[in-house]
Amino acid sequence: MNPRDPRKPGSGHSDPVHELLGVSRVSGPRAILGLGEGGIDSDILDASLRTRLRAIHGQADQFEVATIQEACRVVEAAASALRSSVSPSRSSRSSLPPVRRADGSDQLPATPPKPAGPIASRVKPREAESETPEPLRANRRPAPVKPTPRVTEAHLTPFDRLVLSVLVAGGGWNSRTRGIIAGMAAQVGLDAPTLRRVVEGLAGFMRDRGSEGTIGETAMVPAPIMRNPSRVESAVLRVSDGITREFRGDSAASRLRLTILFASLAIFFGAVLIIVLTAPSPGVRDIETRRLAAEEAIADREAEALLGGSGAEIDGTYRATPSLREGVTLPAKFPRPPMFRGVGRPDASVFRLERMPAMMDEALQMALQLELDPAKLSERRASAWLDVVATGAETWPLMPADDRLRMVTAILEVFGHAENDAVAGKLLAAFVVEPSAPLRTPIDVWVRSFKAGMLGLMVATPALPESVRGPARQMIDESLAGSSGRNVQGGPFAALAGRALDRMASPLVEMIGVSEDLLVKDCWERWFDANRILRRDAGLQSSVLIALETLLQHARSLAVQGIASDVLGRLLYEVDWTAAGPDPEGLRAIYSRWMLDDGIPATNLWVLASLLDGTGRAGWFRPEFVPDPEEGMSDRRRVQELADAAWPESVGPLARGDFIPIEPHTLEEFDTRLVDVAELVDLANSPVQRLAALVAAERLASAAAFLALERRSDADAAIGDVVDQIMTGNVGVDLDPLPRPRQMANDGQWAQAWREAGSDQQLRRDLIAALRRNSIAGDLGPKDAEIFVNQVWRGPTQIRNDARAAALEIFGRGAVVAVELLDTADRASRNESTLAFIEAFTGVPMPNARSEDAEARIRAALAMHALSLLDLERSFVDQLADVVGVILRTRAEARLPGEPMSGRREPEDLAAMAADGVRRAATALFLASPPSVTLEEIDRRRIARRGLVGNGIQGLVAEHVAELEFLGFLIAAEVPSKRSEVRELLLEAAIARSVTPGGLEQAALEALAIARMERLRFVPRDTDPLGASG
Amino acid sequence: MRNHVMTLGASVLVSFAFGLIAAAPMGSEAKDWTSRLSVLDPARPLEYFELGEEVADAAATDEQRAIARRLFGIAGRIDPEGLGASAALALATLTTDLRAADRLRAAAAMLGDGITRPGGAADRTTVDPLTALEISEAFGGFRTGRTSKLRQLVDDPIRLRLLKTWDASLPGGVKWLAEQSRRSSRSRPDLAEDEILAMLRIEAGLLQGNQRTWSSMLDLDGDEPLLEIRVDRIDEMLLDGELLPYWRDGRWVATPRG
Repeated sequence: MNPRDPRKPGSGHSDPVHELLGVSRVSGPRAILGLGEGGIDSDILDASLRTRLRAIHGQADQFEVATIQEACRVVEAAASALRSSVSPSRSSRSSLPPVRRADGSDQLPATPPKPAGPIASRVKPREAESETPEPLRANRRPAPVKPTPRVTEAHLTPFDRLVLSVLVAGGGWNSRTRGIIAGMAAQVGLDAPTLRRVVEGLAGFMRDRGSEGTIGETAMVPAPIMRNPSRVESAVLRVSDGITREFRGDSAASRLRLTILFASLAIFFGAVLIIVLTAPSPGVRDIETRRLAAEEAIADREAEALLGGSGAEIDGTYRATPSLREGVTLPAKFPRPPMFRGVGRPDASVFRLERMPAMMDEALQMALQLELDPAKLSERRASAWLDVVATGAETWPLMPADDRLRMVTAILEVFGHAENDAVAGKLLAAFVVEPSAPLRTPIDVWVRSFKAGMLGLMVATPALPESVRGPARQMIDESLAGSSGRNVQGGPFAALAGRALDRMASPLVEMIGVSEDLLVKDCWERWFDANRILRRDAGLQSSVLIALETLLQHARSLAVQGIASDVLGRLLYEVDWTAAGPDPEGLRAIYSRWMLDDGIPATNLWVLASLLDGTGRAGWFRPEFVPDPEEGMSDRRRVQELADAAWPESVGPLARGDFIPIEPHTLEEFDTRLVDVAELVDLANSPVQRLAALVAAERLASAAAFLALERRSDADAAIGDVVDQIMTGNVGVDLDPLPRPRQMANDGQWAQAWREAGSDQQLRRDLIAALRRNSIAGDLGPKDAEIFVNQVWRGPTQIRNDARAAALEIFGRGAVVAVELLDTADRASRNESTLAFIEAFTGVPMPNARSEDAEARIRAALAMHALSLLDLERSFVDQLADVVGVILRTRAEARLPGEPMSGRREPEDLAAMAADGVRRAATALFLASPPSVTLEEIDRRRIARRGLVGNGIQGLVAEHVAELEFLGFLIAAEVPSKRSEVRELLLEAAIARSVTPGGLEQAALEALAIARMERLRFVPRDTDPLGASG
Repeated sequence: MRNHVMTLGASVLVSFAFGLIAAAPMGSEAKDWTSRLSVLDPARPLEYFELGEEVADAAATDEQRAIARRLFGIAGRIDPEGLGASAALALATLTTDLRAADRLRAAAAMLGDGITRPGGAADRTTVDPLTALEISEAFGGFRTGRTSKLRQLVDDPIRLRLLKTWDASLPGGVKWLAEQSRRSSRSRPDLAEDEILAMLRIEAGLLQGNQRTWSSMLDLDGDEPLLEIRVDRIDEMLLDGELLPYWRDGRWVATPRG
């Protein structure tokens, strides 16, 4: 019975082993192994065993493992059963199956026989047939095969199947397979023709049987002879085979398992990589470990302390809020430093800026139209005007300074022609501004500040009609009440625009937490933009501090990360908290005020101080300065004092303060005259010259006072007088002395004639008349004067009258007559007639004859008159002193407006009034920082100096010193950046006073010092109407 | 005779004895100052001042007055706020220089509170109207040969002292005027114009009283500058030089150990 073909599974048997083997278990070992009835040796047996096992394992995926194992066992059992009956194989070094002999001889040849087979037996006769007998194996007897015209499976020998497998695996007959098969043939001693016949036979077989049959035969290629594997090797082989099948991905399940396996490997290695890259180093881990341990220890200590104090368990929530820890409050912490930046440049404004040239043209056209017809403003023009204003308002911070100037000038030009109230009202309607109203867009910040600034400019421009200035002033009073800003750095535009920005701090703060964060940020950013354009140094800082204070007062949720804390962080960033800031003293005062302000929540102050400590913006700020928000005002006061004590002193220029802008050419002229007058003082070498220098210095001091009070015309007049005096010597007094009148010749001759006239009254009267007819002589000699004056005092009535008339008419400037009158005045009758004569002669008013001081006043007047005639320079002194008095009166009136100035006042009294005026202004100051010298000290010094005063000139000096010191106090307070210069000037003046040899020179130097002191706060006026924007 | 000699000798001896007795307390007072000076401590500035007052009250020599001045100066330097003004006033009383006294009083006003006008230089150059009239009439009479009023003027010691204020300005000085006032001749003196001017200036200045013109001020005061009190140097006004607050071995030293 031919064995069933094992290559046909699915025979339908219930025994899976049967199905796997293709034969029944009981069909015998030969059937199980696929062997025929022919003789077999051990080699054949082993080969068949291997073949069957391979075939069994090849179907492992179709049967269960137990079935496979059972089948293997059955096959092995069959091989074992046959092994005892088979003949041992001839040992052969070749692993290849023996080759059938070509002549069919069954004798064992000495050499390996050619394989028997149909192919070999069908080889055509060839010339080169070998005569060498081929060896045959002793136990192998080729099964006789019935000659058939076709090659079948039965005809195939193991060598044939091996060659067939090589051909199938190698893809047919090619150079590679040719080499392999040739090698195989050489091993078995097969010559080329024989090999050729084998190959041709196999080719026919392959054509006949197809791929299925070919492959089936190749599966039956006997495996190389192997020894029987041990149990371990078998197990390893089974595992190896299993892994091989798995990695081959023969089945879907194996492929799935492979996918899962590789995916798991990838994830594993990826995780390892991430851990390796991110894991902290051992050192860092150690530090973190120790930190955690320390925090735990601290927390434990706190818990112990609390437990020890209260005996109760600590509420964990309390420890999360600020708590005192050894005098230090835990600061507020944020995940990131609070800060924000808005959009750098608003695109819409940038685009709108391109329309500025067109807007300028529109404004020009409008100005021209209004100039022609001031009462008419068409709707189109009015609409265009709104566009012009809006364009300027939305773009002004982006413009260069020159363009800003042109734009502003163009707008003012339009207003310059708006004389009609209705037209002016329409134009002004575009500038209505409400700084405190809520902001809709970020550009609103620029728009409002621009409008406010323009209103300030309108009010401050005298060339504009009152139809514009009046309503503008009213608009300012309604929404931007305050100073006009004339004296603010940057002028009125900067002042009003800045004021609007300050008022906008409230709506900006109110937006926080209500409007979108992006809108809030952009609005604040525009606010910073505008402030930086308008202000610098202390002015800028002041504005930021206003906003900061508003935020501290009204903001909520500052302690959590959000827009509120970001705004706070940004505002803190904009302030210089170091000693080099613009105004450390002012900043300290403001910070102290916040700390003690009940209106600012303690939590907000805690956040403020925490940020100051944490951000490093104030290196001197220590954690001890952070207040505990849960404590009361006492703790705030305590930390405020600590911070105040540690606050750094200024090391840079102090806050600039309120400078007074002066027209550049005026300032230049003033500076030039300071030098000229100083030289005048230095060169003076006579009382008259020193007084003239004093007059010039007083004029310059008064000019400075007028400039400070913005009385331009008075200042210009005073400076003009100084210039005139320096150029021409004109001091307001004719200093050319009149020549002394000539004495009548032949002194004593007239006296002799008088004596000779005796009691002839008429003759005596004629003699007196002769004196009156003498137009040459204006004075008498001593002898004649003695007689003449005696008649003036004691002559008979008519003669006395004639003599007095002659004295008044002829001898009014006669010094000899005047001295004689003085020396013999005691002889005169004390009546109204005598007093009238003396008054007429001297020009000095006389009291009533019965007055107690009449005698002294008579002699004083006569003595002064005589002196003035004898010492001409003396009169100049008094005249110049009068000029000084006039100048001082104007300055006193300027410094003390409203103070009654009636009656004659001495120069030192007027100087005292001027000093009082400065003192009054000084007492009205709000001082952000304590002055180096108090007003009380200056008062004491003033009183002390008055005690040293010996006369009016020294009194003038003393009052000038007081005016100078009060002025120094005032300027040091208003212009902190000039404090050092104030001190230097005061010291310089003191040194000069101590070494100056004369009172007049002292007074002149003090007046100059007053002018220089005022000069400290003058700055050239910026021609750009937007001031600091340039 | 012999008795007279003996009496005289006894008187001399007694006087000498009394002199010794009188001298002894002064020597003991000096010793007292020394012992008290030695215990002075800068930590107690008031003791300097109080001792200075005692020394000033008892001072009979320039050396003692110098010690008193130094004690006041040290007190004022150590405690300018508390004792500066008082020290300045005390020093003003000890100085014979009127201008220095004025400056010290002014310094006292600057240093202290409640100390107002210390009595200024103006008081010295201002005379009452009656005196001014008398002087003017006397000068006028002198110029016209009538010397009776001048004689009365120079015979009055107070007015004579007042006239000596302008001794340098008056023709021939006050002495010459006094001599002229006693001459019997009634002739007018031969005065040069500048001499007449000098007299007129004084008359006019005095007659103007408190209403003096600047020309009169210049005539009478000669454009004297206002005394300057250097606020930054008041310490030096109180005590010039180094502050040596310890009295050791008869001298002032800087440290307790000398």
